[in-house]
Amino acid sequence: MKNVAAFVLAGGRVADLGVLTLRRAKSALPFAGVYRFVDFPMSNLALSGVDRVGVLSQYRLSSLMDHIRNGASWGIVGRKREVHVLSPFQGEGNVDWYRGTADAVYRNLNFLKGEDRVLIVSGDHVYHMDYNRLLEEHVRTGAHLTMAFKRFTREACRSFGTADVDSGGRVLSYQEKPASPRSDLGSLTVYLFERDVLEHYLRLAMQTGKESYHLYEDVVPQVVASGKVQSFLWDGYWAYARTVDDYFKASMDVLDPASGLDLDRWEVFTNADQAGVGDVAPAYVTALAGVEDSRLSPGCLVNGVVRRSILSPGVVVEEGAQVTECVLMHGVRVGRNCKLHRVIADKHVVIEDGCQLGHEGAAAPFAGAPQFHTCGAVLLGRESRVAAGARVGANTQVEPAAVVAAGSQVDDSSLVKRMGEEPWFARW
Amino acid sequence: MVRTLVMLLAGGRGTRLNILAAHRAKPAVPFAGMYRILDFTLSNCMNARLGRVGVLTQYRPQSLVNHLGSGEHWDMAGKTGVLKILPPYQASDDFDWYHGTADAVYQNLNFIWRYKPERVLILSGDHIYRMDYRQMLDQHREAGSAITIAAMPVPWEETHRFGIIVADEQRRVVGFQEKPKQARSNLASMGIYVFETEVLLDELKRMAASGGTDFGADVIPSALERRRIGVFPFTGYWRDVGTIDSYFDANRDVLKPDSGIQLAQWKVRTNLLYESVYAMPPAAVRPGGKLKESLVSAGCQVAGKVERSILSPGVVVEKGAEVSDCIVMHRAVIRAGARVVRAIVDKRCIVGEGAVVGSYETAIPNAEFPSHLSSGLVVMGKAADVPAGATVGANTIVFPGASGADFGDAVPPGSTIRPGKR
Repeated sequence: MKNVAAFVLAGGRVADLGVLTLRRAKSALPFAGVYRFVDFPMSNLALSGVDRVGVLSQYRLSSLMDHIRNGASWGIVGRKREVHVLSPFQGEGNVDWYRGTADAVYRNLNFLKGEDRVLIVSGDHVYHMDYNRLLEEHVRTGAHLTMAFKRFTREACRSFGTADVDSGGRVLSYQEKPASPRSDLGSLTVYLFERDVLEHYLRLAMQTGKESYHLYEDVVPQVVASGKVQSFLWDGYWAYARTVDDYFKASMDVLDPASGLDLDRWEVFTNADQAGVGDVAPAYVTALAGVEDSRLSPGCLVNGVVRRSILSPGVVVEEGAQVTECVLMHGVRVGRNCKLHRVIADKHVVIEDGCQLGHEGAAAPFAGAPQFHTCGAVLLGRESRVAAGARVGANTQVEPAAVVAAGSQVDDSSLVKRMGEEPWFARW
Repeated sequence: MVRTLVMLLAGGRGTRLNILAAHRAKPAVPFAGMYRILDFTLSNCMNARLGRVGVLTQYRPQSLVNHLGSGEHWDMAGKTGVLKILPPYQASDDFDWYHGTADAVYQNLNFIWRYKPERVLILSGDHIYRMDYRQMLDQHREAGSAITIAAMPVPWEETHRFGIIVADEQRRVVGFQEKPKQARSNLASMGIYVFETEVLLDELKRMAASGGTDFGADVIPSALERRRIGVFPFTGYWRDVGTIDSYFDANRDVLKPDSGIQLAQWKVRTNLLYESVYAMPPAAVRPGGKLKESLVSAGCQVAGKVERSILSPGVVVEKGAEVSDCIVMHRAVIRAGARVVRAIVDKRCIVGEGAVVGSYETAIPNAEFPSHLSSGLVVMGKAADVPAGATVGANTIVFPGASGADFGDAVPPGSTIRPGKR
């Protein structure tokens, strides 16, 4: 994509993913074994041929910077090709953190060089899009802004930006997260702006003297009002894992190519060293094991039975263990004779011998987020430990570094808090 | 000043690996799914923090050159590291192809002078093993040796294949026999040498003056007359995977918990950029797919049955296909209903729908290469394409690129299939 620079909005932290995002930017959340959410938009940008990418973030930057590094993992490196993580900075006039997405873009306008157009995408959506198709539509219609939409149910559109469009696809009006949507088109947060238009409306927004500035609130509706916004209708797979239920569903989509999420056809790149696949051997499935309908990352050792599950690098499943519909992240260990049903275990969780986690029966939603965590999943925070023989009910969450005592029982819908001091990874 | 410089001999032809090493140097032959043979030696260097390495290449070096890249995968890049490929070259002194291990090093003395190391570690890229070279270097220094040779005990009946070392109780070499008929010891040289740099320079000059070319045959026997040579004993897992059978067996050792190969503990590292392994998703086991006692790499898709096998990145096993006791390399495809048994399937091969490749028979050796292949294995060269419904008997060698009519209806055991010959 000539003359197009991109910004990736990777700063968001959301509360609705429970203990998974307690200390982590959502774009950095592991997904589908070896990836992080940000790998999906980054790979789209790479495949679309975007040469210069600025990743905007301010929350827990260090792991994102380690992951993105110089962009070489996505092949965006060279004399005129570059990826930069653009953190907040202090200058003579700027002394503050980013105050919203529009502010973050505004304060990094100097990242742009000669480009005439700016593509802005979210860092935490799962999809496989050639942005050139959006660009073609943009050029064909001469729009000032072209944005991608997908058809959802009207109910679902309450959590998106929605738009009315005319028969030619021109956007007539835009509402952010309306209580009663007038349209079934939800915005995918993929914006292609004419650069001078973007700069003009950002400057206007900054003159309003608000506390924070968001693209969806302070820029997009204003450009829509000018009548020069085009819609681009996307009918491919797209997932936004905003809640625990969303995350679980998207993970199960990984196992079902018919869902449209087809990792074997998409080309998704990640930083292999950060993903933990640089130093480990291929997955090893022993003579005692059974593996069905699952994804196995390098470095896994499977000695038990694994069904409909996703294993990140370095997961160990011991003899006699049964793992069903689980997402086990990097380095998780499942002890002998454990029975796991719908467990989402964050990095380096240890489940000792003989534990029973989750069940197939009905359970009330997780009490701490009854709208968002109803799928029955047991969420185990990073480096938490479930000691031998413990039983943990469905729709439960265990805080990072917390311990479920040996032989204890955790009821459905409850939260296990950490008793000791803050874990090392939460301190900075 | 550099303390230890590594010279890694990676020119090996690997003739007895037949078509597996026909289009690539032996050190570049894939091993244990995602690795190449050379990765084991390079990783040993990395784990011993030896970051300056010259790699001597000769036979078909392209795949090696691609694989080595800039050396960053083994921490051999940056200010304190270097991974330099040293191919044969022509110069005013009328040098020629490398004529032997020592000759190859001799022709690259300028590389050694440039780094002025205290000592030089000479390695071969042909072997599967894990060794901490730091222990060997420590022993070399502490004993004040001019040269130290790593050696391991081998069965007496195999001593005629090795350089045999006779040592005293102080680990000092007192005799050396190159491939002896009557061995005086069963301690075999592993082709791993530490030389004090000035000793190496002096001995190589003497060797060149007397027309020698090889460390084992020429340099060591001659140096023994005037140098203190130590021996560093090694007893761990070590294999020269120089034949089809030893290659197959060593791969299968990876599947045995007590074989001595421990990929995870050995910290073996490879170049994930090559073959785009870094861009492959975790292996998918589809509904109906079954995996047992196998190694499965990134990007594999298994909808059939796989047992006692090793799958390299990107291998596809379709529904109803069966793969047993096989080594299947990068991006090979086993189509629906095909059955593959005891086969080494090179990169990008295709086994067509319902085809049957290999069997557990061993009776008829390969007619053309009986000394290379008689254990019953089938070896398929790169991008060979077995047509749907074909059968291929045991001990068959399929040359790279063979396809369609090359196979006829049924390939009897012991055959050799070449593209465009039938």
